[in-house]
Amino acid sequence: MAKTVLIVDDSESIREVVNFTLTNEGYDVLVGVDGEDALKFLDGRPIDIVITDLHMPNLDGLGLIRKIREMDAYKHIPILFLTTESQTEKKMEAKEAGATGWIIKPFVPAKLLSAISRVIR
Amino acid sequence: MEENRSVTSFKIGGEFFAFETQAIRHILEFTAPTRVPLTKPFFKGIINNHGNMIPVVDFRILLGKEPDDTFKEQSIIVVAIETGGKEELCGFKVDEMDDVFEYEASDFKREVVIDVNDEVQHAVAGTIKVDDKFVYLLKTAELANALT
Amino acid sequence: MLDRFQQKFVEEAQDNVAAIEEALFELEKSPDDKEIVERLFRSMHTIKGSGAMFGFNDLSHFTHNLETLYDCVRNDTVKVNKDIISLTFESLDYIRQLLDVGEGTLTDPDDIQRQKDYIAKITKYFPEGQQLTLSSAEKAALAAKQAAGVAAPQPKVEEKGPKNYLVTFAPFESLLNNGTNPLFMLDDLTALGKYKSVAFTGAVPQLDKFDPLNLYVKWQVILSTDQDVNEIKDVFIFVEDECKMDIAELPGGDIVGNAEKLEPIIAKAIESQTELKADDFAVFKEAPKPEPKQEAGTTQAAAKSASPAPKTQENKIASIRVSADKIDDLVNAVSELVTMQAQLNLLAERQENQYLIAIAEQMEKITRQLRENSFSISLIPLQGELVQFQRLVRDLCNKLGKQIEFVVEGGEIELDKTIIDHLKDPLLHIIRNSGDHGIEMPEERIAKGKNPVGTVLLKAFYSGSSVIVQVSDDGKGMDPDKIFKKAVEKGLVNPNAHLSKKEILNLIFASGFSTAEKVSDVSGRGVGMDVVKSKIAEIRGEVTVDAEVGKGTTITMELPLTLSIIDGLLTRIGGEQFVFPFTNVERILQPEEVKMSDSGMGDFFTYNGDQLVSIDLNKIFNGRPTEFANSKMLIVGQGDKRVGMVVDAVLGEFQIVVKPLGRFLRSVDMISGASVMGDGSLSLIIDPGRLVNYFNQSRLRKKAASAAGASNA
Repeated sequence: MAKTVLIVDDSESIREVVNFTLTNEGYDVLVGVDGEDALKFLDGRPIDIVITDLHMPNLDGLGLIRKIREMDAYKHIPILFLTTESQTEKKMEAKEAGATGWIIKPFVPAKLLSAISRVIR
Repeated sequence: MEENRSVTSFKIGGEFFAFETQAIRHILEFTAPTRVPLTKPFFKGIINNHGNMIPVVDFRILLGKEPDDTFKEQSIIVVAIETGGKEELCGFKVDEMDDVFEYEASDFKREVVIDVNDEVQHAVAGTIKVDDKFVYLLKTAELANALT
Repeated sequence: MLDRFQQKFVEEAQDNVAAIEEALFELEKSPDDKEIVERLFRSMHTIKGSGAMFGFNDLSHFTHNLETLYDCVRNDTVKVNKDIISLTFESLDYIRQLLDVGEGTLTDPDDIQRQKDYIAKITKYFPEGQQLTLSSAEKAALAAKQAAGVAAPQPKVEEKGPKNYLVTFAPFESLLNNGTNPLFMLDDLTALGKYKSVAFTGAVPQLDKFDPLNLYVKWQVILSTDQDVNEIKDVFIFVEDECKMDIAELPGGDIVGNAEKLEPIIAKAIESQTELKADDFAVFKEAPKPEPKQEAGTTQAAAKSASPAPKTQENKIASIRVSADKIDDLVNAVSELVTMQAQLNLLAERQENQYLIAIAEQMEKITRQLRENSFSISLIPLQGELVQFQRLVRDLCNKLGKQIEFVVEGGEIELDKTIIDHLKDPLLHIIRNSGDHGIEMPEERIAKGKNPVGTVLLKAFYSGSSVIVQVSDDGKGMDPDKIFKKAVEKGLVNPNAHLSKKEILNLIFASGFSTAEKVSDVSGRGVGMDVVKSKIAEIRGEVTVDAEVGKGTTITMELPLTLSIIDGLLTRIGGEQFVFPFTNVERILQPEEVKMSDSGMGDFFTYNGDQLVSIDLNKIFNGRPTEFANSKMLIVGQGDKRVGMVVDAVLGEFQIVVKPLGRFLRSVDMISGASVMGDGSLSLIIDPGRLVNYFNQSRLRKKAASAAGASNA
């Protein structure tokens, strides 16, 4: 069965590139434009992985990660966040919030896929 | 500019008027226009010409004459009028068409002897003498002022 | 494959730049509002991040510096001031330029120097010690280059064959909590080469103390790989703070394949539950047995980890750009279709053929949908254009030393794109005039008892089938006497002419009224207003001016909603057909539902508890009252006002292609156009708002006339 990926990013171009790449690879893709918007998908349906940006309006990436970790259904699903910061500070903060890993922007499709394959099979 | 002396003449009552031929876009058989309320009396209404709405002016009323719809060959002359930097079409209902001809500069006189209201008077550029009749040549741009 | 998304990125970045611009205006007003800074920062961040993704390296690099500056603002290490905001505005212009240039890297030395200078202007505001982030900017640019494949460093491959490592992976108990699956990591690790793995399960507690959410196992892997040691570290990159991890290099040669020597070592470790140490492998030191032949599995794994870009399939683009001409063609074709549709409907009804009627009905639905879709394509909100006006006002303020607040009402109003296109220049012009000549210097305003801060108000609203766009200012207004004098001088008007104030003011639109050099001292206004007028006329709009000396000026532009097909209610009044825009008709009442009450001043009736005026359209249009018993009363709404309009009959709902009546019938403004019906007949489209105005005015005139008559008697 195809894996379901929830992408959350306020940048349309990033969303589209990620969506395109993953759809081509056979993933089912859900797309949220920010944390708040992404919550609507977290309604109990099976989601295999969440990939989220950190800086977003309404509900930012950290907030989203914390919220997901509070949900029984998604407590343990892998969450990758997109970050441009190579500083460890931001990573640590996200990890503490409950993220599984990260993808550093800019990324090429191969990098995205390999990061995903680190956490779901 | 003055080289082009082709005009198209028409009849109102016993008098002859003419537009410069190059200003004329169509000559249509008269069909009753759709009346538009609250317009000046000389507006008969609008007609549909290839999807464009064209106002129709009853030339008789414009000249201050009594309306008369009894002429068999009533026509609508659709004229392009330059106004506000754009070309607008306007139809004129006339008793009947007369002729298309070129006139000699020597046959043209600026003097106008005609008993019509001031606005139309302004719109008459001059008189052309053809054979034994007088044709009043109309200037479309000035006519526009009479219409608005 | 990224090319397809670059256009998208450019559009998005432009939107972000516009968003930043908007936020800057707010920030200027409330420099301490952290929420605004946050928004600014986020948009910059997006431009930077996406820019690098799509190969806009210089853009990304530049924006990074701007972002860093606002990061400092966010963290209160830099305080926003006017200079920073101005610099940011400037930077936005530069970003726009870079977006125009396209992806790639600047090559012209002048351009490069220019960017350096720009960046220097920004970094000047950085607090001490902010240099660190600068270098990470370089990193970002470098990373961008790598991502773009410019200088992607190849992973170092040891030429001398595989190396052996002992990898110890002892995750913390909590590792499972955030979605990490340690087995995947082991898979990744073992995919790097040949391996032998050992799991230590000694820490697994008794069942009663066992928490299934905890991880009690640790692993050691003896790995033979020709990959760089960094590849091994990379496997654990997400969990380096959640585990104990160690990589030790072992002696060369074949360890993994040498079961004879290896098994006992492993067995001993498992039995004692003690981790293997590099020393345990000393026995392999004297057994150099190089293995030149690479395992098939190894190459495969390497290929997998460098997974190729996905094959290109059909592209899913959420939005596309279409040339305006194509949209115009579409809208025109749809207008034709709607007219044909009406003919089809009529034919179907006349033939009384049920099949034909069914098809016609079906087609009408589709036509309507097509029409709505194609129109919505060409509608854009005014909002999108506002920032440049705001910007203009700000620049004017700075240049002239004036204080002007730019206020917008009704920015959400949507207009046809052609109309907006035509509106842009006139608006810029009008607003510049307001700032330039209308609003006074602060001292002058204070002296006049005005607020030192002037206001320029841009207001948009619907009125019937028109949109009104108004620019008003509270500046010095215009003096009709001066304008009249000047118009006479210019030979535009007869010195003896008797003109109303409004007529005089509107002389500023006459061509030849003013030239740029001579305007300020005379009227203070009117530079190129003739151009404004003709530009507005091109879209069938009208522009008028009103002004009060010392109080201000209002320029009003009245524009058609669209090139327009509307849903209309077709009615008969006298012998003609009239269309009411469907949106204005609230209800159709039968005569017996209406109770007229004559208050002596006109006809009123009660509807839903309100006293409404009843307007008899036959009386207005034809001078004869409607025979009330055979009529219909339409409740027509315009904004929050409602009136009753009496018509002879209601003929049905139609899609109406609005055709303008042209300039000569412009004075009949209560009729906004005409439409060709299915049978070729024409119907006239009523502008309810204007009709009500006309009704009110003619009633006032009548009242005045009868009052005059009464006093004479």
